[in-house]
Amino acid sequence: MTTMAPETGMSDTIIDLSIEDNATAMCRLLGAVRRRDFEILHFEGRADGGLMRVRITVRGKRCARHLTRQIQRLIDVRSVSAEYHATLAFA
Amino acid sequence: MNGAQLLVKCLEAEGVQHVWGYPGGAIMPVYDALLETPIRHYLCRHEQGAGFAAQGLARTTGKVGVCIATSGPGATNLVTAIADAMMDSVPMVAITGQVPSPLIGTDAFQETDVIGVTMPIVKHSRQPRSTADIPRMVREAFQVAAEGRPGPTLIDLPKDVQIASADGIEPIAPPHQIELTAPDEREIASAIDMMRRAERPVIYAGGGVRIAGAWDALRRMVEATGFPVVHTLQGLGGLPSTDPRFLGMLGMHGSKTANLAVQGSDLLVAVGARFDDRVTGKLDAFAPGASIVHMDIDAAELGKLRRPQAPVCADVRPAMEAVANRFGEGADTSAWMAKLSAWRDAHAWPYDPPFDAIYAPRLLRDLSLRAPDDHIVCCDVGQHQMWVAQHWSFRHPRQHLTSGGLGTMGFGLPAAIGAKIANPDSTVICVSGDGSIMMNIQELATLNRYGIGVKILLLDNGALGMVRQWQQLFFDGRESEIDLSDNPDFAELARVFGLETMTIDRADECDRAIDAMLNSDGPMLVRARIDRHANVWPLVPPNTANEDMMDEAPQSVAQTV
Repeated sequence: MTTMAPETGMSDTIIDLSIEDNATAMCRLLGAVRRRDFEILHFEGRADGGLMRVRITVRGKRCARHLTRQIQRLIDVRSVSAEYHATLAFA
Repeated sequence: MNGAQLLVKCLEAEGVQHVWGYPGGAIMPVYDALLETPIRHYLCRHEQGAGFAAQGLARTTGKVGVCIATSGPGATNLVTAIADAMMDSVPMVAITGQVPSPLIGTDAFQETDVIGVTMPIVKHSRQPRSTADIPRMVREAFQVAAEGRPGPTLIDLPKDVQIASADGIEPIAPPHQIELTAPDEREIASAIDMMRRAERPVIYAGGGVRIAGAWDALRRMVEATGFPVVHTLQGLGGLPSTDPRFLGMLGMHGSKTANLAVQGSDLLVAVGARFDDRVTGKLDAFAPGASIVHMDIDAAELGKLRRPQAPVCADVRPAMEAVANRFGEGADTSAWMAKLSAWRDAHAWPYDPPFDAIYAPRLLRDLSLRAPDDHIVCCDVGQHQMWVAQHWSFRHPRQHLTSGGLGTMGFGLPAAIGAKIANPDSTVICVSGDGSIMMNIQELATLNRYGIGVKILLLDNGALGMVRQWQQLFFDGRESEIDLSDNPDFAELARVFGLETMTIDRADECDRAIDAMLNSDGPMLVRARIDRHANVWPLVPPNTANEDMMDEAPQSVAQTV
């Protein structure tokens, strides 16, 4: 595991997010992941007051740092943190 | 007061003066409320036209443009204009009517999930479910559209919310000023350090300079550093076209000097630019010897396609001002500047082809030089768009409106309508082609209805010229579905719509046509018939390094029309 995203090559990223719990926030999040050409390997979510705590594991060839920056731009997203991996065994 | 009236009050509170749209069943309460507001509504003849007209205001003023449509087909007709605004970072709020809340999800008449349809092409969207939501969501829509990297937002307003009571609910006033994202001191120091050491520097300035209203800061940075500048399509005018340090547009149809300079540079200072594929050509071969300073307000752009050695994540205006204030002395660039000067002399554009037919680059250059300094030019998409980019004499970047990212044919005429309404004292010229103009030809009726004095220069080659050029070059000359020779006589058509018109065929008629356009009061269309076989040169083939430009002299395409 590293806090630095690999620049190239297939890699997996675990992204922990806090997002607003509204009708479209989850669609925006998942849409952003798909549009940047990442595959979602794993998804967990739970309500926490007015927020959703979400953990997604994504796989892609592109640098995942740019994906996390794109996600940070979404209005409903309150916080983002990411762990970058070469590839994860469970996937 | 009902929800629709509250929505209009919120628009007034945002300072909106003009909106463009098209009424329909699910937005009727809003249209009723528009009868009692100082906001002027302009009826376009297609919702896409309304979206582009709103962009015309936004692109020329930096303010948020507003367009309105009904549900279902009205909303989906806005989609292309919304996508276009997203790609070119244009601040726009689209307001759509929606079927009443109890009918949402029932496949009701004219129901479309426009929130879902537009999700990938808006910065944000909201659907108020009660009148109490309206002030907050409108404020949010305008703020999100304008702040940071601008873009479109959407408010989808169910009809029952439009007619519900909103008594006692007040609009939320916008803040007086949006705070700029200041540059980090260490990032600026690192950028300046690299810039001082560069011996073959080039500034690569994009649409972010225009969006940020930062061309004065760019000019100060150029003055302080002495660095030459290349522009992207959206950045044109950042440095005036007549400035000796301006090398031209770079990329696929860029000038030879600009592309050779970038390819030979040891430092590229990218400002408000995104390393688009039309700019870089083969990405791996783009500016191969250059280190990169990249200034952009959008962190997601930094390193997206080319890793910068010195990223500066900030509003580009304070970033460039900081560089201008602190640059001091740099390395000796005199040998580099001499080389650029020699390239510029060797690759000057030819403007005097040996034939009598109209040579579009010459016509465009002459028109731009004779137009008043504060004129605005709106392009459509195709060969004429690239000729404008190459040959127009730009004074500042907000005078050039072009659909760069999405490349939408049909953009030019409605965008010119919005630009002229927002800038009534400016001469507004729409340069279009016979393919593009037909995509939103209905907006000629809008020109006539409001007497909007847009001047249309229609370069008519009876074909989809850019597609024909690519078929000639990359598909063994096999022409497929590019013939438009059965188009109507556009001068006659425009006359029927109520415009003054003129048709020209020869080069010696161009001056007369320019005179007529610039001296006429109302809307006018000049149809200039040009060679069907004329190509845009130079051209960097796809996935090729930018120094590998194809080119051809104009005399080899000289043919009678």
